[in-house]
Amino acid sequence: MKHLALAAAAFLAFSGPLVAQTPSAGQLASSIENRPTNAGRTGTMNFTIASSRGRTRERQALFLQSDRGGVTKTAIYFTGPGSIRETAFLTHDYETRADQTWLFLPATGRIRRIPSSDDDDYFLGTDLTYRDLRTNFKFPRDEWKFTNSGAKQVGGKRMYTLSGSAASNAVAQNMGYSSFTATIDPATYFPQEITYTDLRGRALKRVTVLRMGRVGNAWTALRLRVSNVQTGTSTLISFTNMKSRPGIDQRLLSSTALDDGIPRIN
Amino acid sequence: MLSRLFWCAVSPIALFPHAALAQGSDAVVGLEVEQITAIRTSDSDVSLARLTLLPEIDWAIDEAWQANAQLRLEVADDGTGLGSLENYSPASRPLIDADNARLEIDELTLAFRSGGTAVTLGKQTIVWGTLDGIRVTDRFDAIRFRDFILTDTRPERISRWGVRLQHETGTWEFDGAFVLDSTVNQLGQEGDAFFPQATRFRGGISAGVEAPIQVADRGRLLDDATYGARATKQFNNGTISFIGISGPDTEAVIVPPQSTVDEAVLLDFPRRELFGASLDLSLGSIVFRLEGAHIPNQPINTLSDTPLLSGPTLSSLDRPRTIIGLGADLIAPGDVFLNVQLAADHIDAGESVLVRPETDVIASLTAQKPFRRDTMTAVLEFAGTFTDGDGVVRPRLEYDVTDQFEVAIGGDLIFGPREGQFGQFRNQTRIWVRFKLNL
Repeated sequence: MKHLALAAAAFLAFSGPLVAQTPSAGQLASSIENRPTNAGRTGTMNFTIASSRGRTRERQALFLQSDRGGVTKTAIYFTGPGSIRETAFLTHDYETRADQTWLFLPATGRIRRIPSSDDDDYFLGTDLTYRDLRTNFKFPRDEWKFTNSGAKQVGGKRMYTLSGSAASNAVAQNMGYSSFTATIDPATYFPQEITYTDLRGRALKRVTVLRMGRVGNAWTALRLRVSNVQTGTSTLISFTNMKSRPGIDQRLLSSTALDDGIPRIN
Repeated sequence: MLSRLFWCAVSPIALFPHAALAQGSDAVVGLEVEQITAIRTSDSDVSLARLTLLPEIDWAIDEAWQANAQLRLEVADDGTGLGSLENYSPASRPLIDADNARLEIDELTLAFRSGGTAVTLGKQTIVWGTLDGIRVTDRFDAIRFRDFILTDTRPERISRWGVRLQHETGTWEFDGAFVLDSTVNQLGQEGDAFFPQATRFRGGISAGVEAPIQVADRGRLLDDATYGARATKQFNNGTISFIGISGPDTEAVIVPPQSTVDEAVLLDFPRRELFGASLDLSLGSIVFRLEGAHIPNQPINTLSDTPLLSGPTLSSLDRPRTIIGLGADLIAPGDVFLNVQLAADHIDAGESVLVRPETDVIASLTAQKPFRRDTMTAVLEFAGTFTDGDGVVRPRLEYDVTDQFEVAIGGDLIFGPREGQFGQFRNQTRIWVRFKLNL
């Protein structure tokens, strides 16, 4: 749950030159890793969580994020449905020390510091794991050995491809994945599709970016679908009213703000 | 009467949006409907049948001003759960109080917020402390005990009229509240499932003893006001708070007559002061919680040489009380959330003999596991005391049928000696089913 907003930020990138020569796997992974992000942003998140039988559930939330000084702060205020309205979630992700996470449940009236979830736990009943969200759909070098890169035509557009396998069995166990294959947009270094395999090498999950947009000077995925090909479930995530807010009020991203109610941001 | 109550409860949410939208402000209306029915296992009787409607309006007037209102309409079968009102202040009593139905204001606030400063006026609750359901420093609010502690969230609070001021500066937050409302608690009514039975909760008077008890007047605004302050400091991986509270206790004492033994005794909630601190700390994948509180003048009934009633001889004293609690949260393998807590509650009896043990040791354990993509949750709770050897085991299964509709089924298995905190209700073991609709 905690890094859901980071998932959106994951798809941020700036336009780069479309090169004819395919970069090496390491170069490509570095370019993806170094995509710039907004210093601050807000938007409305909409989730549609579909079961294998096609039954859907909806979630709406206000999302706020800042990324400065080595810490990424993300707040999610649920606005619907009514049963979870005003439930608020906040995470501070530090580069140099352990993450901090808080949850506010209106029924208890208490802001509660909560333990971090395991990487392979699923977030809020979606098809995203906490690890998916934490890594912003990038491919950290301490988790992956990059095995191949190349290029292919997708819809008349030249795309890079990147493949990797888990750096070790322990890492694979922690991630819940043993390998991935991704299609990368050379203009943004943004994955357009990622396919993960499970620990036995079978296709497990597919992440597809359906729509992108420019927020401030960075690109972001405004609509994406995550499908579990083994269970037949899927999650559609879309963002509306996404705005760059480099000067976002840091108090809105502090734990003490969680019980103030849903922030009114114009 | 029911029709009138219903329309009193829901008409504000029907009328409000038009006014709010006309001014271009943000208003959100909601309605929660809950029906809970419990069957006592010992005799298969219905021990609880209560319908609750909670219409709510949140109105963000502008960036600084926010108004909130929530009403509580409750309908219950005879003797199954509306609770007593004798410990409510006149200002907080229900707007409508019929035989089997009530309408009261659950929340009514107007808040002004600018930067890190906020002022909240109105009927509200003040949630302090860090443990779940075990109240160490969380002793500002009035509490509903009509269902004992067997509620969805613990403690179940009663909002009161007052003012709250909060201010943040750097990593510190200062929080002060002044409540001009002498409401202290809500108990089960005599004959209800959870009407107190243990002698310790009856001021030393055994259940069944006819007592000429007079309930203290709850209209003393200033004498029974509650005020308190909290200073909170955030640091790298934790939060520490220092808390002071002055106000009437939520646990009653029986005050013996001052003149003759024939005069009625007084059920009262004398003032006491509390000084405490709470800490939560994230270490690795575990969150630790620690709280401590000292009450130098805890009102408590003691056995004495003064004859009172036909039972034991009682008196009322102020004695030092110290409460310490600790807890931990973690995610166990299999995505199981675990919460474990332990607390010790000690009253220094001095030369006196208390109507309760000098030290209570209380423990709780909660395990929670989501299934089916979080649409189903299995919960197992235990709460009990080491001192009395009693407790309750609470399994339940919750299922989100849709985004708006939830069904839950569970049981409360109570065990222990009749004079224990939990054991006093050992005949109230029950199974229950609950339906909840959120619109």
